Amino acid sequence: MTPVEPTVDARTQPEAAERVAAPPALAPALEATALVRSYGGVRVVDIDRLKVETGEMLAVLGPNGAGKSTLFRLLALLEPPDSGSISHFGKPVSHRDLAARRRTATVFQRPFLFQGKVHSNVSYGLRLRRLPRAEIRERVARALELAGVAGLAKADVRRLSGGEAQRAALARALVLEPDILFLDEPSSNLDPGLRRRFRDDLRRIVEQSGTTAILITHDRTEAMSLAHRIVLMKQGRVVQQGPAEEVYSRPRDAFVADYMGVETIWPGRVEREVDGLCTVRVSGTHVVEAVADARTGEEVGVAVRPEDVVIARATEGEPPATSARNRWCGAVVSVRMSGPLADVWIDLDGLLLHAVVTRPSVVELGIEPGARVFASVKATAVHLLTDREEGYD
Amino acid sequence: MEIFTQSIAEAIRLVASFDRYVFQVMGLSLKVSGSAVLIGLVIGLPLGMWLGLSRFRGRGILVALVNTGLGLPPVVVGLFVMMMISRKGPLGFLSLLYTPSAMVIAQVILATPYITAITMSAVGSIPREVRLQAVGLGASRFQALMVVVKEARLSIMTAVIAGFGAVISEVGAVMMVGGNISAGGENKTRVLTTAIVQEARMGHFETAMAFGLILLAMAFAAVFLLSRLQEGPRGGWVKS
Repeated sequence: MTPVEPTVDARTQPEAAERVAAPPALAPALEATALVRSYGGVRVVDIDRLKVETGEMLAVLGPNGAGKSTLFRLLALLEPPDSGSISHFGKPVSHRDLAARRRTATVFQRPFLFQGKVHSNVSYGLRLRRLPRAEIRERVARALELAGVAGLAKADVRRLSGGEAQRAALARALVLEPDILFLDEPSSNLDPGLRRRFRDDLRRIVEQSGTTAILITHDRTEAMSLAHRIVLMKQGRVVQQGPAEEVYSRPRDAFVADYMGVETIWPGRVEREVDGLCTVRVSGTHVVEAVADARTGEEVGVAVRPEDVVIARATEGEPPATSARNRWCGAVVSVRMSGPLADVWIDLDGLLLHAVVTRPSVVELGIEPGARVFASVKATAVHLLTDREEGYD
Repeated sequence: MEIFTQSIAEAIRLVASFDRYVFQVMGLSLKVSGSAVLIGLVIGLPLGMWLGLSRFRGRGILVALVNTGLGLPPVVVGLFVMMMISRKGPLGFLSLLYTPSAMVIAQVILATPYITAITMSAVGSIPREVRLQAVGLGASRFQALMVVVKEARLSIMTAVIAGFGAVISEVGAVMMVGGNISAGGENKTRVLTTAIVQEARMGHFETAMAFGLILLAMAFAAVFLLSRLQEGPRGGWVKS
């Protein structure tokens, strides 16, 4: 934080003049520090630090009750925090700062369209900003086009389907060409089929416009498919934040692993560590090899992503040829079909392993409860969860 | 039954011939009750919005008071206002007794609870997120409140019409503070309801009936307007 000349903002916020931060070009689009919000004595949001770089899409992911929506309202300047500070592009902002709020736009889970026509909804924010009529007309048309509802400009909002209404709500925010776009579960009210198309369009639109976006979601698929970075929340606190791929493949603890879809987490102890290859003993009976950063003697959680498990039918004692370091034999406990994939649970003599295979493989390999199978997992695909406190910035 | 057919025929003739007396009385009725409702709106709309949108200690008591206000007996309100503005009362120096202003004051007290109560429940039924959404699109706090008013406008119009219906048809309060004075061909404080009482008492059933018809027509017009508003193309808050 280097003090610079007071800017325009400092005039409206005299007390902020001293704290004006680095030049906007270098500053993150949004930064929150020591943000706390309590309701009835419970800390619903308690965040040390959260940063969103300019132009990136950040997903705030977490289960219901994690404080995501409250965090959303704080970050979007819809309500004040009990304590802590928020800055947009390096400048401290607050919910009283109308100019700062007008550089952002929000889309909620439900569209909350105002009575009347679609175009009057989309033009609402521009009318608040007192833009010339011709410009409003032109920008509304462009936003409706972008959101894929150009044909509905004159439609009464009550005649819209759920998907159309949410697209109209998106257009209403996009038309403002915000520096930061806030999206609170924008697709979770839509039917599954619509949801995917909406997400695809949302990603394209946000990428095209180059706006910084903050997405609140409880759906890891949505977070993975849209966001560059993920912040995972639990009970008001950030559990892990980092690039989406990293949070997915290198969960920090059992909660993150579980939330990111890992059902196989075995408690174990590192017996030996040689050049990053760890040998872990699990429940005394099994040995798992993992390429990980762990120390000899350390208690760890062994996490295996279901899609990293390769299954082969066990034929008369002969294990299949594979380069995978971990090979186990076991019996299928249950098979559950879900669309093109199937979840398979395998009992490895006391350890339960979760795998995902394609539907055709289930048929080809004859995977059914009771069947004997070989399961193999590469050492690089095994992730060790340690209890160590690490910086996760 | 002759009494009905005769007086109705005479009443229609009086209305149709723009009888000066009849129209003076009707005009004062509209003026007094119209002003009362407008003032009631100025008080009741912000009050109703405040009670409907915020949560604070003691709100329950205020809400109960407003709801009690819906059942205020007009004659008691009349008595109260009369005592306030009578020569010995605290506001006696204003010399308001037996003037249209006194009638307006009494009717404001009667109309305001209607407008407050209906506004309160109307804005309370609009999801909080509508206001947040407006703020999230760059509305100031005031502009966001205006969105709520706009979303609730149908109910607020209902409130106005209900309030108007309540005061234009009441007789107790205007009789107490207005005095039903009409002298020398000049109408001072006589309105439709007090005129009906007066004319009927004097046996002028046809004139009383003329006033009654006008009141009925007004009530009908109000209900008609209301139902048109409700089924109109720009009706209630539906889309969620």
